[in-house]
Amino acid sequence: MSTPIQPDDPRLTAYALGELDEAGRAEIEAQLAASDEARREVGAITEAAHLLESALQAESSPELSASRRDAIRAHVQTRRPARLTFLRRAAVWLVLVGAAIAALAIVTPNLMRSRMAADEADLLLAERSSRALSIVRSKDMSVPGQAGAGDTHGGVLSRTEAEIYQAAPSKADRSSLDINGDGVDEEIPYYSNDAGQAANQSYARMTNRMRGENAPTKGNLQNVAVGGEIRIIRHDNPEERPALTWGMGLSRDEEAALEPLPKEAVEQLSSIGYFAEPSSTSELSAGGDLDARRTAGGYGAGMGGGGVGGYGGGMGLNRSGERWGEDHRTMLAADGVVEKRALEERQERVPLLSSLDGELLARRDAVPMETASHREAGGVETYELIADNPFLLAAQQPLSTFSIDVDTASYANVRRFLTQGSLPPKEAVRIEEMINYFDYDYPAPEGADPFAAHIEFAACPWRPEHRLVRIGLKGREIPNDDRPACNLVFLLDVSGSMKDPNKLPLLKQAMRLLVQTLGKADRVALVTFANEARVALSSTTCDEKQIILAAIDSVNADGGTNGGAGIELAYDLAGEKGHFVPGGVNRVILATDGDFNVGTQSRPELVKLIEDRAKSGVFFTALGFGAGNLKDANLEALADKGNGNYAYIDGFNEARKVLVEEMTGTVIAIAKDVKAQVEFNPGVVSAYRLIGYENRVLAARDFNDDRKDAGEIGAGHTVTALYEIVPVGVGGTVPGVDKLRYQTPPPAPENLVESAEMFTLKLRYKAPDGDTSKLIEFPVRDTGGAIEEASSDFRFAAAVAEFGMLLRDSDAKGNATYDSVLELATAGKGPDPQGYRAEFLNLVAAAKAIKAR
Amino acid sequence: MAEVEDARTAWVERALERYERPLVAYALRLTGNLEQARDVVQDTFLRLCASERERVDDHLGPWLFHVCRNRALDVLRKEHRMDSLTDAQAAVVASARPAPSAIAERREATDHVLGILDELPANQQEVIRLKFQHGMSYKEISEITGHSVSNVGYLIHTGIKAIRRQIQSTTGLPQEA
Repeated sequence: MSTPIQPDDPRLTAYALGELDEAGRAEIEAQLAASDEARREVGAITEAAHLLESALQAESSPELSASRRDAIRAHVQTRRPARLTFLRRAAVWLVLVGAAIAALAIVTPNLMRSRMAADEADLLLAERSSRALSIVRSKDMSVPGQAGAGDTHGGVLSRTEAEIYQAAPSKADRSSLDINGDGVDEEIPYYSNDAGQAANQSYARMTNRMRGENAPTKGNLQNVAVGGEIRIIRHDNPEERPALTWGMGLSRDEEAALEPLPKEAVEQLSSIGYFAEPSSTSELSAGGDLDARRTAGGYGAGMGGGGVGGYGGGMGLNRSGERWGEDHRTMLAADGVVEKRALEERQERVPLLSSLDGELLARRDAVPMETASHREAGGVETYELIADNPFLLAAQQPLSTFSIDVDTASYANVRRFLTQGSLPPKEAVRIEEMINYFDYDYPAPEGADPFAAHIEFAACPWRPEHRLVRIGLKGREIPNDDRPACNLVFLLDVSGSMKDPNKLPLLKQAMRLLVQTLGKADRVALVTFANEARVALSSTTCDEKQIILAAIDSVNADGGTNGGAGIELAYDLAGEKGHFVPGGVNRVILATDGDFNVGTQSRPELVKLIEDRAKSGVFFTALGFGAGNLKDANLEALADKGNGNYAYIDGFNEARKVLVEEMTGTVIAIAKDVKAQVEFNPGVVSAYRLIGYENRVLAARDFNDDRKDAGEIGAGHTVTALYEIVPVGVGGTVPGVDKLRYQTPPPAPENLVESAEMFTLKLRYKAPDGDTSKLIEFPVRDTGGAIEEASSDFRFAAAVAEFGMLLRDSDAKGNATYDSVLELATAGKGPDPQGYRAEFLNLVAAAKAIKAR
Repeated sequence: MAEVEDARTAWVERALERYERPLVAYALRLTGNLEQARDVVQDTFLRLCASERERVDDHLGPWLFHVCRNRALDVLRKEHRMDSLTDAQAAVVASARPAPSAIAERREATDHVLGILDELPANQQEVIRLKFQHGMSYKEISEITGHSVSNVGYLIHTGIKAIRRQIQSTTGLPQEA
């Protein structure tokens, strides 16, 4: 023993916290025996440590959301660990072995760090391919590598470490040691082992055994103190309580808790997303796809690939878009076939798929850089939570007011999930956007009005005692030749993540097509934004198309994302004198993969910016690309505030549909701030429910408030809204509404005007350049009959709504099934010249197959 | 094959159950933004899904925290809230406070300690939290943060000392003789 230990020797703290090995401990203990001061010091440290520990462990910590957990789970199923080629394996092992030897020699934790470095290196290797590989290898060449030694060192090492560092016997340490080795965690007695009981596991997930902290208590959970820890234990049978209570608990208004679901529905619920296995397609594409481009420094970059890549996994991505479009549909059909087979021959599915998998793997090796970046669903996508519109009593709330929505993004996004073999998260399903994805053959308006309203009735397919009402609006058609000049400013996200083949390259291809269809007077400008915003092409008229096309070609993706400055710049360009076309089409078109990082600006500030700029008469279109990092809610909010629309581009077909086929509609607004208000007649209607439009519902007084922004209708566009109606006299209570305690039954309002009309539809709109709204009214009677008598458009729209309710697992879905959706949609398919409705049928079949597994 | 997949699913499920909240709490301290913290943690688990289990398993906790930390710093860097990966700069942004509701629930004494903790430099807060909130050993903290073990020991030692001094001066309670 040398000099007495100083009170501020860090070893005292290490000793108090149990961080010293045996030798170190013995040394300190000898010191302590000789020094009162040191002993007091250790006592004080221990006390402070306890205080800190209890304070910190009592801190509440937020959980991930249920949808994020589901995304992770879906990922486990679809992703396998990156497969190492022989060379890569060898290189990684060299690193490991080298590190092992170094660590054993000098007894530091370097080993573990190196192994983590090796993990990172592994991922990096995938990205940088052989060049990086050789660097890593050469770095460790001096170490005599023996693969055999590497194979075993893991276990050996952790034992060695345990000896060197006598770990503090804290709960956490114990538990992480448990995870060592065989990975069987014996210390989790309250973890449900019954893998079939999804609900059970979800409750188990709520337990927080590390800290005696209160997890947010929902439903039927109870806190029970056991041995000093608070554990949350679930008491009743999962079937008594639908999985709703946890799953989308956040999205659900507790008050809206509806009638108990049938047992069957509960079972369905608990399997949704939770054990949503990937379909064959996603296993195919996922087979070992690598985590490239997401390595060091690349957070968020390269998350995309979903729409196209997750599907094709390198198939046809470099082909011309036209070609790809065809492939897309064909493959959907193929998907259905495989699914069907999976159902019938469950046992055979795995070998079948793995052989295909192998085939794809081989292909991928041929084009590693193209495919490595494709990731399917399960990245960092955010959606706004949506709770279904509830049934409302017509006597109490006769007015239903909403903003027209012509967005279609949700459908393409849902399609992406389904073609990848997983059910979309509920929040990603916006029924009105799915319905409005399709064109309906409503007659164009006659006379001066910019649009016509077409209303149709039939029995509600999923609850025949109810009525289903369709309100269909059709915008005036403007032939391309007659339309006013366009002044388009493309605002292109060129951050690194846009590099993926299904993002910027796809967009550029569609833009080239668009430019080809534009007239000589039309203007195009390009603003790119990454770390900074830059004008890539000042506003140029289309009599110089070659210049525009060359500028499009020269746009490349690199750098981070800072959208704020770009938006200002784009609006400045669009509003510039000489460019702005009074009475014409002035529009900023934002294309991004949605990781719309706005630098210093928060989302509300950005929304405000766009809202302000929209007043200048410049309209706004948001195009969402890619997957994984898509900030869906973000883009939708921007489009809403900017007098605009939002489309999700999941493939070239969609890009062409939005930018070229619907160009006059997407680009030319014929009416803006279009609001609908329906006044129901309580003498005829007992209750009603607006299907979809959840985030478009307006307060009744907003209808007449011209300052309240609403949706726009483009030339030739159709907009469809559906109401489910409970007629007066239909027995039973209104779904979701408890029997009233003080009124039996709800009294018919006095002074009812005697009328057989079911409702009055009122529409308000402004001319594209107007500030004052106009009002149109349509009194409506129920004239319809059975669903079979309805028009094919009606039946198809009803089928889409029913499908959306199934995907959203809506409480109002009644006796909806995938089969009834298929039947209804088949009956309503009509001529379907572009094949969009046929594709829908395939998606329903895919969803059904996914669900059945 | 199916069994392997099931085992993987169960493995990830256990990791989620055990580390989900600690990681969100950790990432929240680093990014100061709950949704970003969730993004970071989701991303961390996605990386776990893509990892070979045998190479992660024996240091799962430190591995997850390490990946989570790197992802969080990436986010900060991407947003230019941090120009380079240095502790000094991380220190500036990392001082996010917990939600007011969380503070309100805290009892007075612990509240006081946490208040003091919040005043410490961020790198010191980070190691102290890893130690006392997440139960990591010095060695594991070293793996997660890249500080040397002795540096971790020093940061924790001086951190505790500073906290003791503060408690003493504000409450007058004798903490040491």
